[in-house]
Amino acid sequence: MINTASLSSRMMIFFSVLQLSLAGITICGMNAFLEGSTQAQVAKELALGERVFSRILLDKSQQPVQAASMLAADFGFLESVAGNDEETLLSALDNQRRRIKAEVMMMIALDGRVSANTERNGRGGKAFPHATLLAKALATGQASGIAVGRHGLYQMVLVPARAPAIIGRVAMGFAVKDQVANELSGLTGLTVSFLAGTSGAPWRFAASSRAARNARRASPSWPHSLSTPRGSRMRQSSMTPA
Amino acid sequence: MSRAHATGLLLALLAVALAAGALEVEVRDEAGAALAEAVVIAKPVGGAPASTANTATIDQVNKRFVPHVAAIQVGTSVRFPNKDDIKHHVYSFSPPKVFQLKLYHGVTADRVVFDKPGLVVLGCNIHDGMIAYVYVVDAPVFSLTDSDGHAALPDLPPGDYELEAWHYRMASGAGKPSGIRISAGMSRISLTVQLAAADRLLPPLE
Repeated sequence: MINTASLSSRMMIFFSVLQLSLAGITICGMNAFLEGSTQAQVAKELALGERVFSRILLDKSQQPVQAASMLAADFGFLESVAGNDEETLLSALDNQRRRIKAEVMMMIALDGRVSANTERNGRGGKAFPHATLLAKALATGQASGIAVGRHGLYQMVLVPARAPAIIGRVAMGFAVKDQVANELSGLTGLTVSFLAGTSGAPWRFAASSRAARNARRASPSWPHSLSTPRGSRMRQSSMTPA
Repeated sequence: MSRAHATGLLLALLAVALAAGALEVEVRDEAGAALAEAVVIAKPVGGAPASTANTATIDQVNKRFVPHVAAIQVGTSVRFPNKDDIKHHVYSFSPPKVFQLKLYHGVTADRVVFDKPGLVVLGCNIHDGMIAYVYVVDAPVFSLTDSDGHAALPDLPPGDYELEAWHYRMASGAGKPSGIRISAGMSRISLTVQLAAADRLLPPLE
């Protein structure tokens, strides 16, 4: 009797332990599997989002390039460029800037110097600050990219001014604001932030989508892994799954 | 340039007595291709700028300027007859001659006197593809190369000249002195010019 009871209780203990072990192994396995697949999923989403993001940025640059080309071909505007009258050129630039709703507009002479700049109240004479964009415009005719300006980030487009040979280049900068990040966030399903930095200074947020702003509010130290930019005039876009 | 020098020197050394006063100049790019529509100028060394009261014509035919490249002497007055059945608005914003001939038909446009030397680029306000280059020279003897890259400088009075070449695909609006002095007995000279990337100067072709 005792033996029987002891045997059955030993069996019960044995099977209980076996079952618990199996359950434990299963749970551990499942956990590892789920974690792995979630991470893979996140990585996949990010990669896909990044592709969509880049594509949208490219598409978004087409419209300003076309609009800028139209304005740069305006005969009255070309006349003011050729007219050797700084004040008239500046006011014509500013008028074009308003038409296209750009933040800043510059005229770049053939030697690469800015001959008029709506942002600096017309004071030209300095070399165009975004050398990479200018080099691209010289090589391919036009250029567009994101540039760090005085008041934040710009989508900067460069198009030639022809009369009818090239007499200079027109640069137009459109502010990259939270609204742009929101739009990109909505289309990619990612939180989107644009960070701007110049040599020696830490990165700062130039524009963020709603989700990115919320994440920063929830965790003031987010993101943690951004270093101080090296070299001048760099930009970075940060993305995390929304 | 070194090639031009070398060729020039070679020719100078080998010079045989040829009819003085006629010179054939050949213009090539750096790849050796013959350059048509290059302007070749013989500038008298120490000579005073020469001007003229000649006339020249630049037509507009099928939404093109004819000729596409013209070399004229300072002081030349140019007519711009429009042979198309649409109007044109000819303009130049080039410093040596800024002018506009607003929308006109036929031969009604005024003549334009090109009174300063240098490059004048012509366009049409309503047809972006129209472009012409007028190279205004202040020397008495000049010529344009033909499709084989050859230009003849006939009637060269005796004297010292420096040869200069200009092509609309050069990056600069100014001609490049070759450093070659024409001396008596020379009959052929070869010049090499450096062209800019095509998209630096030209609007896209239509």
